[in-house]
Amino acid sequence: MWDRTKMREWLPSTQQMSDAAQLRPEAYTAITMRQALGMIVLLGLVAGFIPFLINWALAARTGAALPLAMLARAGAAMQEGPLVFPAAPVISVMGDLYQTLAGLGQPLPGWLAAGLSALGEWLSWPLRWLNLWIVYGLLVMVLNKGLGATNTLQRFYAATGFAAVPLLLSGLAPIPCLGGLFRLAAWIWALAVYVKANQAVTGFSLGSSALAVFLPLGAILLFFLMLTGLWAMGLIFALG
Amino acid sequence: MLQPENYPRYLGQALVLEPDPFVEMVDDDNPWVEGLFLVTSIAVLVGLAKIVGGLLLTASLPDPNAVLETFFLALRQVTGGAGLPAEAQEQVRFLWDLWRSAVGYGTGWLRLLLLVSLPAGWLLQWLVTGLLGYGGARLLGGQGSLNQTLGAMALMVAPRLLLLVQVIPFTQVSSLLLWTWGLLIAYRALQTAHELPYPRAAAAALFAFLGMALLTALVATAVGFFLGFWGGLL
Repeated sequence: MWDRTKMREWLPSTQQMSDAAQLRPEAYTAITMRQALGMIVLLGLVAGFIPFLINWALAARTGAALPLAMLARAGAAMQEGPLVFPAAPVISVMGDLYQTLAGLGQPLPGWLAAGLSALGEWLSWPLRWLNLWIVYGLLVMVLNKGLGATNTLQRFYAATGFAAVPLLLSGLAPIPCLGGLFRLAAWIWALAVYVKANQAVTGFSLGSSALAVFLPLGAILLFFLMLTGLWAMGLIFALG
Repeated sequence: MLQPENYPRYLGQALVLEPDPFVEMVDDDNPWVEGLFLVTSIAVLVGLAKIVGGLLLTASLPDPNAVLETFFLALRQVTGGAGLPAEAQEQVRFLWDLWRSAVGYGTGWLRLLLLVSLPAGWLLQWLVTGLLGYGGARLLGGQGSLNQTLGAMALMVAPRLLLLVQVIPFTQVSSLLLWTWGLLIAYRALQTAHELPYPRAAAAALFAFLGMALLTALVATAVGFFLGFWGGLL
């Protein structure tokens, strides 16, 4: 039988989720880390469901596993696009290669290989969200401590788990034209929830909370920019 | 006495950094034996999941040899029929086989090795991290014993339960997630086993993980050199 008390241990109420999404501060202190974990996994699966169905249909039409079906699609797009002269032969061969790989066939029937690979991609949704929650959260928490916060790790992770609520919108990304907008809105809204949640558990001003949340993001971007710059410089030296 | 019936609760609570499993592990009559059994059980379970996942992955993808030959054929087309020199082809084949072994794609009976290599690797990681954590904590004024430290630190294996989803092919679990979550659990373990305040427990956990990372990098470099020489890449 479905035990609602057990479920409550692992999930906040829908009212709490709604309050958190509306940036109401009291919502962020009424959740446990266990509930946040359950919520992230559940919402990740819900958000990934439509992309799962679309991925399965797309891969099943090609009769191959999802990564190969995507390659075949990319290959077709490469051959349909305008071919610039110096790269044209390479692009054409790559397009052929991708489509040939997708057409090689596999021991499982095409629809099943497609389904399994789409299922794997679906299960990766909550795992990616957990990755953000735990890894990025640790960076923010270190900055919080540096700025003088006294809250515990559990309280912090519990509150910031609510950032997963607006991310539900990212599940609508496959919708043509509007999909990109939904994804952008989801990330902006999630960041707003994250900043408010951090403010609620640390007691910081909005500015300090935003600083702790965005500084690691800036540092990561700067790191990748520097890495790209170094790579480009190496390439220029190697060529010239 | 071993208490495997409590493991699911221990692991669930350790994941969300609740203190109970750490206290219970520290107060166990033989914490390191409990830790040894816990780490081994989870590693064997994950190994089984990876074996099934590898079989399903192989069944969902084309024959690996056909994939490689198709790639070589495309290279011949790009280079106007010349293709790769024979030596370079051998090197690509070697790297391809290496990658296939890592992901379990068309590796046949070899994948059964996971049932031995995974528990052995994880036990080694647990022992090294536990010893370093114990050393770091004692240096910072901790009072716990090595036995208690190893018992509590065994709970670091909790996030690796996520690897069970790899029973389904194409599921991606980030190593960064597993290591970061493991670090958080190690911090709680050292805090509980040694009754340390948070900055010292954090420093001890970081010391253990940086030491482990350094050791892993050294071993990976040595293995890389060995494989490079063996495969004719160096």
